Amino acid sequence: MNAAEIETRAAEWLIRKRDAQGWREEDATALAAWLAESPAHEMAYWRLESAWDRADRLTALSPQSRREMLVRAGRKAAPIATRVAAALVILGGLATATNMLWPRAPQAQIYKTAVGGRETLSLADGSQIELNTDTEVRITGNAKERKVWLEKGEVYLQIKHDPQRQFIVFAGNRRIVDLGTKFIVRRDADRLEVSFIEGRARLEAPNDADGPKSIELEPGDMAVANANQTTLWKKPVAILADTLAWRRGLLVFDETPLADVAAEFNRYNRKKLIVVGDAQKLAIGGHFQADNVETFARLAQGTLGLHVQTKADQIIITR
Amino acid sequence: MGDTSDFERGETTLPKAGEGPSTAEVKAWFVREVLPLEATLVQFLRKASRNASDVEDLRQEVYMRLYETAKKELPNPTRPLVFRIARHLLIDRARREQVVSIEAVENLENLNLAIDEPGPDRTVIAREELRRMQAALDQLPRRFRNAVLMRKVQGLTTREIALRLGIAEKTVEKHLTEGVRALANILYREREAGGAP
Repeated sequence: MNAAEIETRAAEWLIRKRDAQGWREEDATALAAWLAESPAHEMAYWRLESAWDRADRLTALSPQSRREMLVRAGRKAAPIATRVAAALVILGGLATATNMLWPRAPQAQIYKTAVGGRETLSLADGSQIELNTDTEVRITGNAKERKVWLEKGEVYLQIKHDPQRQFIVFAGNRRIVDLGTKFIVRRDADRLEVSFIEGRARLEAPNDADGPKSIELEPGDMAVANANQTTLWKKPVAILADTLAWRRGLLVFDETPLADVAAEFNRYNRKKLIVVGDAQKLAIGGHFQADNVETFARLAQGTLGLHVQTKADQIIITR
Repeated sequence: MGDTSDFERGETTLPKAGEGPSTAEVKAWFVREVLPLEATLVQFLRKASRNASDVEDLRQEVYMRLYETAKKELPNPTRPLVFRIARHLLIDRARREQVVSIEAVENLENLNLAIDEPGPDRTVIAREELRRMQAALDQLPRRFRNAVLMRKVQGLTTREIALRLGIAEKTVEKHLTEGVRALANILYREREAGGAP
């Protein structure tokens, strides 16, 4: 068997094994025998298994692909159509019914940080909200709820949980309902990112045409949402904690392409790093002062041997 | 999710005491150290081999040789060894086929230099990985993606998916099989080089 044939066999085994039904004792024996035949079998199997598991935390369904399924199934006979309806009810039932239009409270307090700024807000109830660079939040509260709107930027929340007084974070067309939590919310132009450090919370999506959905988040979860899709990902909490380095004024990189490094620095500085051409792919690691882009540029020149050209409001890096 | 990781399952043969790393250890090493290098390795093999259909078999051969080494002792560091093995394999093959062109040898030498630079292919930070995962899903052909999502998201069995889509179980199995292969190829082959957000 050549590599492609082995891979196909390995994939068949994996899919059958991971099927919730129909996997029997003798299948397990047969798989073990097949794996033992050759390291090539084992490695092909491991490779696919690890890819499959990486997708394991994929919990959300884009409305688009859900529609596609419906269209396909709709062509079939009536009994199947009934099954589809039942499935949709279950999907809809996952989400709590909420009005997802997020009306802004007019009396809300507004807090902003400038580019490069960092601010900690201590709320009366003992909760803390740390604002990262270029961030704007609106905060309002009453006896029943506490609400925070993240208009832009990034916040780290340490919430004093109070079952009598919900804490809700609104960001774009999503909301996060605290169930006793520490987490980070970052809102870029068209995407929202929620990293979970401690506790539990629920991420809720809007009541759009394709129905609502909600996801329970736990420590190590990282959810990334764009307008109509959410992906959930499991990460060691220690790695997620790196994304908190900004609280100490640091940026932490680990084999990060220079293009991404520049984008991170540019969130914190008026003087923008521009990486041109091949140099974008160069991966670097390390801790850097977020607000000291000049030092970084000198390092790029000295250590990485790149060409650095400094202008009034730009630093251009080329190979 | 219907899937549970069976990372620690003992379905492969157990090692005898004192004979180097266990199969579980080799597997963990392979997933952690070797798979993230696959994109670079395949690129390397592709450049050096004129026959595209060879690449998969060459990769398999590299993995086999790595496995033999790892069974004795887990290599550390892994990266230089992977490319040393790949290089030797290509040279062996070129000799055997007696079609060593000067050009090919030159390419091998150039590649030597290139692979010693750090590439954006090792541990990627969480953010980067998430983006890749999302991109990988988007890239799956539609019918594979549907099957994968129904399995992953809704935790449906093959039979349930078949009933829901009104297609044969065998077909669903085929879609899932192709889906997982495509997913692995996207995840391990395509580096998101220079993909600035």
